[in-house]
Amino acid sequence: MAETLPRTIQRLIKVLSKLPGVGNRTAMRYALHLVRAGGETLLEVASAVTDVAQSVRLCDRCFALTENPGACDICADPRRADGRICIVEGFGDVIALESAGLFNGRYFVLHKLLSPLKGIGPEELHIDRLMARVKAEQIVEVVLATPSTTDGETTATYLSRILAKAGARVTRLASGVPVGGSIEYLDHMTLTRAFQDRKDF
Amino acid sequence: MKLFTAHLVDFRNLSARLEFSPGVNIFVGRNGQGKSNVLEAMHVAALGASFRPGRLGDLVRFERPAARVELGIEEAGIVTPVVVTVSLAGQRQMSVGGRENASLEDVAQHLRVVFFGPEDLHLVKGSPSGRRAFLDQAIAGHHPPYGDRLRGYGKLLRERGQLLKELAYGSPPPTEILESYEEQLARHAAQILSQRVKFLREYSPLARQLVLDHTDSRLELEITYQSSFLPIVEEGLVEAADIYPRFRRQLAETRAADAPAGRTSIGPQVDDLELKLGGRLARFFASQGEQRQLAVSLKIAQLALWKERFGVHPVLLLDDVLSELDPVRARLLFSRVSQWDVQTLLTTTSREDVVLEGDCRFFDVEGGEVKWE
Repeated sequence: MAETLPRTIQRLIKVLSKLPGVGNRTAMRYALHLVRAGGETLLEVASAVTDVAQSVRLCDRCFALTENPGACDICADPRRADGRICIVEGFGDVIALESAGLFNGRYFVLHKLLSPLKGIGPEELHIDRLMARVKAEQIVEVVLATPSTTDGETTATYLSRILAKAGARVTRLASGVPVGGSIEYLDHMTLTRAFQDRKDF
Repeated sequence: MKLFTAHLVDFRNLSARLEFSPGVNIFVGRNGQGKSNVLEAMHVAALGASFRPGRLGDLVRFERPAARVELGIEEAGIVTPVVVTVSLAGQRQMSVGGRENASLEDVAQHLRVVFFGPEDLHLVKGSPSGRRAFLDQAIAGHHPPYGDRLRGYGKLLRERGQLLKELAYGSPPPTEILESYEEQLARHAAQILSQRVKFLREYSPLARQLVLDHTDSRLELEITYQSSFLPIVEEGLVEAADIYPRFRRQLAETRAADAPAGRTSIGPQVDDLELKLGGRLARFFASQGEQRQLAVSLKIAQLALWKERFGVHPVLLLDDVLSELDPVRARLLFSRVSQWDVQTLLTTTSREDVVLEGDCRFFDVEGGEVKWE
């Protein structure tokens, strides 16, 4: 049915369907909605997308998203120099940690996790830049906040090894019983982990 | 736990509403009509995966967006709805008792299945991979996260394989990378090995007793876990915490030898189960009949273990097994099934294969439609 649509709209649908969680059908709904909304809305979306493409880049130091020419706001802020770096997989993780407001150090965004099969090695993760920062910024603690998946765990293991050689204290986020969660409904893997990592109370 | 009703929508070629007998449910039809798909639907609902190879999305009927399995499961007079949908993209979603986003473990509170297919009859004589699959399936049935652990382990094996090849063919990866993968690999392997050994400790006595009861010759069955990681065999290591450091050291030692082929030579992926009857290897010395009998007994032992652990029998799925069993052994199987009150779903091409008394219901399966009297 999409074939009867004008070519330009077909192209829009194709582009939209690349977004996560958006299939062909949803993409078509979005596209038709935009078309119906008319000229101004369409141009507004278009210019917002163009602006992002033109002005957003990665921070020189932590690889977070920024519009600044050199370092991002967090890296540029001297008050964030508390000697700690938190390593995360994606920029979404930075947002989550920032909105919780519990960390006052700086970040390092990997954007990828190690996977020899996919050809992702330390170079792709800019590990050399991380090591340079650890040496230059008098880092006392590196917090590993990669996800608790196979790739996330392996990446954390690798980072802890090379960081230990650099003499930094390495910590890893705890995993276990979620706050407000009941034990009864916890899956075994999480429960096992929570039990192993229990601490004095 | 008993299957009470099922509503299958666009599951392979099936769209059908079924009401089950609490006893034996027999699905009769020619090949390719969809008999096994009924069993497959139950398998997917209970274990999250099919007993056939392929992607989860393959379960969706041609040109349909999703397959849906709605089950009513009866326990103590209360029927709990369990709904599983699989999208074309292979996304699985489950709800239990109306609660959305349920996990496999939530489903397992209400539905557990033991599957027995034609390949299982070759359990004794067949390849080690078949025996590993038997063991893994049994453990995952008890403890669903085991399946995730296995998949994670499989991925790590492939990653290490890639690193080993790079090591062997000129572009050696940084040592820390290799060590990190081996550390993770060893952690997974230690858990898997420990769970296998612990499972067999519980399972073997039950299997031994059943084999004694079932065979005229009254032969002793001996099940041994044949591990490529020798400390399990020689020193009887059981706990993951004891296995891990030793396994890791051994991985590092096998690195050079493993490198050219990129294959990891120790670990759960190469282990085997050794089955001995009366002190002799069943694989070589038992007759074909005895081997099949043993395979049946090993499955029945799984039912017994479930009962012991969870207080209820799982639902038994028998796919195309009857025609392969002689009448004596088939009768033995059914007498257990009815004695233990195990709800059973089985497929067959001919009604004549089924000899049983008691509560049962015949279903005719043709072209994706299911009818019963």
